[in-house]
Amino acid sequence: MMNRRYSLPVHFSTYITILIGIVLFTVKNFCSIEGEWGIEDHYLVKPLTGLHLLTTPFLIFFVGSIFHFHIYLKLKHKTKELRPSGYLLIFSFVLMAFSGISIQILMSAEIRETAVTIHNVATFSWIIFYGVHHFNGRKTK
Amino acid sequence: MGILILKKILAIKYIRGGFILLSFYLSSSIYASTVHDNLAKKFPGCIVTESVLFLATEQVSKMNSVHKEKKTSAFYAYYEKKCLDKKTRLFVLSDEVRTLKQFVLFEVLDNRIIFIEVLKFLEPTEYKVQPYWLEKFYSLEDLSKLKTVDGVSGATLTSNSIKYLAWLSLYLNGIIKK
Repeated sequence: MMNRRYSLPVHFSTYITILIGIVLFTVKNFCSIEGEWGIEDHYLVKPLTGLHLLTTPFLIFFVGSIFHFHIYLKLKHKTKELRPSGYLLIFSFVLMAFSGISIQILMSAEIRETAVTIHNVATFSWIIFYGVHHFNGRKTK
Repeated sequence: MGILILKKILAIKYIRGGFILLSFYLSSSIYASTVHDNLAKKFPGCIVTESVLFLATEQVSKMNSVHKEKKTSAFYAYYEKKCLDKKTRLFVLSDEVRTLKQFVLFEVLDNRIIFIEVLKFLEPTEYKVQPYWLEKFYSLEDLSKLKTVDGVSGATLTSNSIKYLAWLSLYLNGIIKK
Protein backbone atom coordinates (compact mmCIF):
# COMPACT_ATOMS: atom_id res chain seq x y z
CA MET A 1 0.00 0.00 0.00
CA MET A 2 1.32 3.39 -0.93
CA ASN A 3 1.57 6.17 1.62
CA ARG A 4 -0.62 9.18 0.83
CA ARG A 5 2.29 11.47 1.67
CA TYR A 6 4.14 10.09 -1.38
CA SER A 7 1.22 9.56 -3.74
CA LEU A 8 -0.43 12.99 -3.46
CA PRO A 9 2.50 15.04 -4.85
CA VAL A 10 2.78 12.57 -7.78
CA HIS A 11 -0.93 12.82 -8.59
CA PHE A 12 -0.88 16.59 -8.24
CA SER A 13 2.24 17.14 -10.41
CA THR A 14 1.00 14.59 -12.97
CA TYR A 15 -2.43 16.14 -13.45
CA ILE A 16 -0.99 19.67 -13.54
CA THR A 17 1.59 18.61 -16.19
CA ILE A 18 -1.08 16.73 -18.18
CA LEU A 19 -3.40 19.75 -18.12
CA ILE A 20 -0.66 22.17 -19.25
CA GLY A 21 0.55 19.66 -21.87
CA ILE A 22 -2.92 19.20 -23.39
CA VAL A 23 -3.55 22.97 -23.56
CA LEU A 24 -0.07 23.50 -25.07
CA PHE A 25 -0.61 20.74 -27.66
CA THR A 26 -4.01 22.21 -28.66
CA VAL A 27 -2.83 25.82 -28.85
CA LYS A 28 0.42 24.90 -30.66
CA ASN A 29 -1.25 22.72 -33.29
CA PHE A 30 -4.71 24.22 -33.77
CA CYS A 31 -4.57 27.92 -32.82
CA SER A 32 -2.14 29.81 -35.10
CA ILE A 33 -2.54 33.56 -35.44
CA GLU A 34 -2.02 36.06 -38.25
CA GLY A 35 1.01 38.03 -37.03
CA GLU A 36 2.42 41.23 -38.48
CA TRP A 37 4.76 39.26 -40.81
CA GLY A 38 2.76 36.08 -41.44
CA ILE A 39 1.28 33.05 -39.72
CA GLU A 40 2.83 32.46 -36.35
CA ASP A 41 2.26 30.52 -33.15
CA HIS A 42 -0.44 31.66 -30.77
CA TYR A 43 0.82 34.10 -28.13
CA LEU A 44 0.04 31.52 -25.42
CA VAL A 45 2.56 29.01 -26.86
CA LYS A 46 5.63 30.71 -25.36
CA PRO A 47 4.34 31.08 -21.76
CA LEU A 48 2.77 27.61 -21.88
CA THR A 49 6.05 26.06 -23.09
CA GLY A 50 7.85 27.82 -20.23
CA LEU A 51 5.25 26.54 -17.75
CA HIS A 52 5.54 23.01 -19.19
CA LEU A 53 9.34 23.10 -18.81
CA LEU A 54 8.92 24.41 -15.25
CA THR A 55 6.41 21.80 -14.03
CA THR A 56 8.00 18.75 -15.70
CA PRO A 57 11.08 18.58 -13.39
CA PHE A 58 8.68 18.42 -10.42
CA LEU A 59 6.90 15.48 -12.05
CA ILE A 60 10.22 13.72 -12.69
CA PHE A 61 11.28 14.37 -9.08
CA PHE A 62 8.06 13.00 -7.58
CA VAL A 63 8.01 10.00 -9.94
CA GLY A 64 11.60 9.37 -8.78
CA SER A 65 10.41 9.46 -5.17
CA ILE A 66 7.58 7.03 -5.95
CA PHE A 67 10.10 4.78 -7.68
CA HIS A 68 12.16 4.78 -4.50
CA PHE A 69 9.33 4.33 -1.98
CA HIS A 70 6.86 2.27 -4.00
CA ILE A 71 8.30 0.41 -7.00
CA TYR A 72 11.80 -0.31 -5.72
CA LEU A 73 10.48 -1.65 -2.39
CA LYS A 74 8.01 -3.91 -4.19
CA LEU A 75 10.76 -5.30 -6.41
CA LYS A 76 13.24 -5.68 -3.55
CA HIS A 77 11.00 -7.44 -1.05
CA LYS A 78 8.77 -9.12 -3.61
CA THR A 79 5.83 -8.46 -1.31
CA LYS A 80 3.45 -7.70 -4.14
CA GLU A 81 3.50 -8.16 -7.92
CA LEU A 82 3.73 -5.05 -10.08
CA ARG A 83 0.53 -4.43 -12.02
CA PRO A 84 0.68 -4.52 -15.88
CA SER A 85 -0.37 -0.84 -16.00
CA GLY A 86 2.61 -0.14 -13.71
CA TYR A 87 5.06 -1.72 -16.18
CA LEU A 88 3.47 0.23 -19.02
CA LEU A 89 3.70 3.42 -16.94
CA ILE A 90 7.43 2.92 -16.37
CA PHE A 91 8.05 2.24 -20.06
CA SER A 92 5.95 5.17 -21.34
CA PHE A 93 7.40 7.54 -18.72
CA VAL A 94 11.00 6.77 -19.70
CA LEU A 95 10.09 7.22 -23.36
CA MET A 96 8.19 10.45 -22.64
CA ALA A 97 10.98 11.96 -20.51
CA PHE A 98 13.82 11.11 -22.91
CA SER A 99 11.94 12.26 -26.02
CA GLY A 100 11.03 15.49 -24.19
CA ILE A 101 14.68 16.16 -23.34
CA SER A 102 15.65 15.28 -26.94
CA ILE A 103 13.35 18.01 -28.29
CA GLN A 104 15.32 20.53 -26.25
CA ILE A 105 18.83 19.33 -27.10
CA LEU A 106 18.81 17.72 -30.57
CA MET A 107 20.26 19.70 -33.47
CA SER A 108 18.83 17.83 -36.45
CA ALA A 109 15.34 19.03 -37.41
CA GLU A 110 14.44 15.63 -38.83
CA ILE A 111 15.29 13.71 -35.65
CA ARG A 112 13.64 16.43 -33.57
CA GLU A 113 10.40 15.94 -35.51
CA THR A 114 10.60 12.22 -34.71
CA ALA A 115 11.23 13.06 -31.04
CA VAL A 116 8.12 15.27 -31.03
CA THR A 117 6.02 12.42 -32.45
CA ILE A 118 7.44 9.92 -29.92
CA HIS A 119 6.82 12.44 -27.10
CA ASN A 120 3.18 12.96 -28.14
CA VAL A 121 2.46 9.24 -28.50
CA ALA A 122 4.28 8.33 -25.25
CA THR A 123 2.47 11.11 -23.40
CA PHE A 124 -0.91 9.98 -24.71
CA SER A 125 -0.12 6.41 -23.57
CA TRP A 126 1.17 7.67 -20.20
CA ILE A 127 -2.09 9.60 -19.59
CA ILE A 128 -4.21 6.51 -20.32
CA PHE A 129 -2.02 4.14 -18.26
CA TYR A 130 -1.85 6.64 -15.42
CA GLY A 131 -5.64 6.98 -15.31
CA VAL A 132 -6.09 3.18 -15.38
CA HIS A 133 -3.40 2.64 -12.72
CA HIS A 134 -4.73 5.39 -10.45
CA PHE A 135 -8.40 4.39 -10.59
CA ASN A 136 -7.76 0.62 -10.44
CA GLY A 137 -5.57 1.28 -7.40
CA ARG A 138 -8.41 3.19 -5.75
CA LYS A 139 -10.84 0.34 -6.48
CA THR A 140 -8.64 -2.29 -4.83
CA LYS A 141 -8.32 -0.26 -1.61
CA MET B 1 -31.42 2.83 -27.98
CA GLY B 2 -31.10 4.44 -31.40
CA ILE B 3 -32.37 7.76 -30.04
CA LEU B 4 -29.84 7.58 -27.22
CA ILE B 5 -26.97 7.04 -29.69
CA LEU B 6 -28.26 9.93 -31.85
CA LYS B 7 -28.39 12.17 -28.77
CA LYS B 8 -24.80 11.23 -27.94
CA ILE B 9 -23.67 12.09 -31.50
CA LEU B 10 -25.51 15.42 -31.34
CA ALA B 11 -23.85 16.14 -28.01
CA ILE B 12 -20.41 15.47 -29.54
CA LYS B 13 -21.22 17.80 -32.42
CA TYR B 14 -22.22 20.49 -29.94
CA ILE B 15 -18.93 20.10 -28.04
CA ARG B 16 -16.98 20.17 -31.32
CA GLY B 17 -18.83 23.32 -32.35
CA GLY B 18 -17.92 24.91 -29.04
CA PHE B 19 -14.33 23.84 -29.46
CA ILE B 20 -14.14 25.35 -32.95
CA LEU B 21 -15.63 28.60 -31.66
CA LEU B 22 -13.09 28.67 -28.84
CA SER B 23 -10.29 28.03 -31.36
CA PHE B 24 -11.54 30.87 -33.54
CA TYR B 25 -11.58 33.12 -30.50
CA LEU B 26 -8.04 32.13 -29.54
CA SER B 27 -6.88 32.38 -33.14
CA SER B 28 -8.41 35.81 -33.73
CA SER B 29 -6.14 38.23 -35.51
CA ILE B 30 -4.30 40.59 -33.21
CA TYR B 31 -2.92 42.72 -36.04
CA ALA B 32 -5.19 44.50 -38.45
CA SER B 33 -2.49 45.19 -41.05
CA THR B 34 -1.06 42.70 -43.55
CA VAL B 35 2.55 41.94 -44.54
CA HIS B 36 2.10 44.17 -47.59
CA ASP B 37 0.94 47.13 -45.46
CA ASN B 38 3.82 46.63 -43.05
CA LEU B 39 6.36 46.57 -45.91
CA ALA B 40 4.86 49.74 -47.39
CA LYS B 41 5.25 51.39 -43.98
CA LYS B 42 8.82 50.09 -43.71
CA PHE B 43 9.82 51.64 -47.04
CA PRO B 44 8.06 55.02 -47.19
CA GLY B 45 8.47 56.73 -50.54
CA CYS B 46 8.69 53.39 -52.35
CA ILE B 47 5.96 51.55 -54.22
CA VAL B 48 5.53 48.00 -52.97
CA THR B 49 3.31 45.64 -54.95
CA GLU B 50 2.34 42.14 -53.88
CA SER B 51 2.42 39.06 -56.13
CA VAL B 52 1.98 35.36 -55.54
CA LEU B 53 3.91 32.42 -56.86
CA PHE B 54 2.57 28.88 -57.27
CA LEU B 55 5.30 26.30 -57.65
CA ALA B 56 5.03 23.32 -59.97
CA THR B 57 5.32 19.82 -58.50
CA GLU B 58 8.89 19.34 -59.76
CA GLN B 59 9.93 22.71 -58.27
CA VAL B 60 8.53 21.67 -54.86
CA SER B 61 10.24 18.29 -55.23
CA LYS B 62 13.58 20.02 -55.81
CA MET B 63 13.08 22.06 -52.63
CA ASN B 64 12.24 18.91 -50.69
CA SER B 65 15.26 17.08 -52.06
CA VAL B 66 17.68 19.88 -51.09
CA HIS B 67 16.10 20.62 -47.69
CA LYS B 68 14.47 17.37 -46.62
CA GLU B 69 14.04 18.44 -43.01
CA LYS B 70 12.13 21.66 -43.80
CA LYS B 71 8.41 22.17 -44.17
CA THR B 72 8.00 23.48 -47.70
CA SER B 73 5.03 25.00 -49.46
CA ALA B 74 3.86 25.35 -53.07
CA PHE B 75 2.59 28.87 -52.49
CA TYR B 76 4.69 31.96 -51.74
CA ALA B 77 4.05 35.68 -51.72
CA TYR B 78 6.70 38.13 -52.92
CA TYR B 79 6.81 41.91 -53.28
CA GLU B 80 8.18 44.15 -56.03
CA LYS B 81 9.73 47.29 -54.58
CA LYS B 82 10.27 50.40 -56.68
CA CYS B 83 12.26 53.26 -55.17
CA LEU B 84 12.92 56.08 -57.67
CA ASP B 85 14.21 54.04 -60.63
CA LYS B 86 15.59 51.12 -58.63
CA LYS B 87 13.54 47.93 -58.80
CA THR B 88 14.17 45.14 -56.30
CA ARG B 89 12.26 42.11 -55.08
CA LEU B 90 11.33 41.45 -51.46
CA PHE B 91 10.67 38.14 -49.74
CA VAL B 92 9.33 37.80 -46.21
CA LEU B 93 10.07 34.20 -45.27
CA SER B 94 9.65 32.28 -42.04
CA ASP B 95 11.15 29.15 -40.57
CA GLU B 96 11.01 27.27 -37.28
CA VAL B 97 14.40 27.66 -35.57
CA ARG B 98 13.89 25.02 -32.87
CA THR B 99 10.31 25.14 -31.73
CA LEU B 100 9.52 28.79 -32.50
CA LYS B 101 9.69 30.82 -35.70
CA GLN B 102 11.78 33.65 -37.08
CA PHE B 103 10.63 35.98 -39.87
CA VAL B 104 13.31 37.31 -42.20
CA LEU B 105 13.19 39.96 -44.93
CA PHE B 106 15.34 39.40 -48.05
CA GLU B 107 15.85 42.06 -50.71
CA VAL B 108 17.08 40.61 -53.99
CA LEU B 109 18.51 42.43 -56.99
CA ASP B 110 19.71 40.55 -60.10
CA ASN B 111 19.68 37.20 -58.25
CA ARG B 112 21.89 38.59 -55.50
CA ILE B 113 20.83 39.33 -51.92
CA ILE B 114 21.44 43.00 -51.16
CA PHE B 115 19.70 43.29 -47.79
CA ILE B 116 18.64 40.94 -44.96
CA GLU B 117 16.79 41.84 -41.79
CA VAL B 118 15.39 39.61 -39.07
CA LEU B 119 11.91 41.07 -38.66
CA LYS B 120 10.71 38.93 -35.80
CA PHE B 121 12.53 36.39 -33.67
CA LEU B 122 10.39 34.32 -31.31
CA GLU B 123 13.11 32.10 -29.82
CA PRO B 124 15.14 33.58 -26.90
CA THR B 125 16.99 36.67 -28.16
CA GLU B 126 20.45 35.29 -27.20
CA TYR B 127 20.12 32.91 -30.17
CA LYS B 128 19.47 35.71 -32.64
CA VAL B 129 22.27 36.27 -35.18
CA GLN B 130 24.03 39.64 -35.36
CA PRO B 131 23.51 41.93 -38.40
CA TYR B 132 27.24 41.79 -39.33
CA TRP B 133 26.95 38.01 -39.92
CA LEU B 134 23.98 38.58 -42.24
CA GLU B 135 26.18 40.81 -44.41
CA LYS B 136 28.15 37.69 -45.47
CA PHE B 137 25.24 36.81 -47.74
CA TYR B 138 25.47 40.06 -49.72
CA SER B 139 28.51 38.94 -51.70
CA LEU B 140 27.09 35.57 -52.78
CA GLU B 141 26.63 35.07 -56.48
CA ASP B 142 24.57 31.89 -56.64
CA LEU B 143 22.87 29.16 -54.61
CA SER B 144 25.89 26.84 -54.52
CA LYS B 145 28.00 29.48 -52.70
CA LEU B 146 25.63 29.42 -49.71
CA LYS B 147 27.45 26.37 -48.33
CA THR B 148 30.63 28.44 -47.99
CA VAL B 149 29.06 30.72 -45.36
CA ASP B 150 30.26 29.69 -41.89
CA GLY B 151 27.65 29.10 -39.19
CA VAL B 152 27.49 30.96 -35.90
CA SER B 153 28.71 29.05 -32.85
CA GLY B 154 26.12 29.27 -30.08
CA ALA B 155 23.40 29.99 -32.62
CA THR B 156 23.85 27.05 -35.00
CA LEU B 157 20.15 26.41 -35.51
CA THR B 158 19.44 30.09 -36.18
CA SER B 159 22.28 30.40 -38.69
CA ASN B 160 21.19 27.17 -40.43
CA SER B 161 17.67 28.55 -40.61
CA ILE B 162 18.92 31.83 -42.14
CA LYS B 163 21.00 29.86 -44.68
CA TYR B 164 17.91 27.88 -45.67
CA LEU B 165 15.80 31.02 -46.02
CA ALA B 166 18.53 32.72 -48.07
CA TRP B 167 18.61 29.65 -50.35
CA LEU B 168 14.83 29.77 -50.60
CA SER B 169 14.74 33.47 -51.51
CA LEU B 170 17.31 33.00 -54.31
CA TYR B 171 15.60 29.82 -55.52
CA LEU B 172 12.20 31.52 -55.68
CA ASN B 173 13.74 34.56 -57.33
CA GLY B 174 15.27 32.30 -59.97
CA ILE B 175 11.87 30.75 -60.69
CA ILE B 176 10.13 34.14 -60.94
CA LYS B 177 12.70 35.34 -63.46
CA LYS B 178 11.98 32.36 -65.71
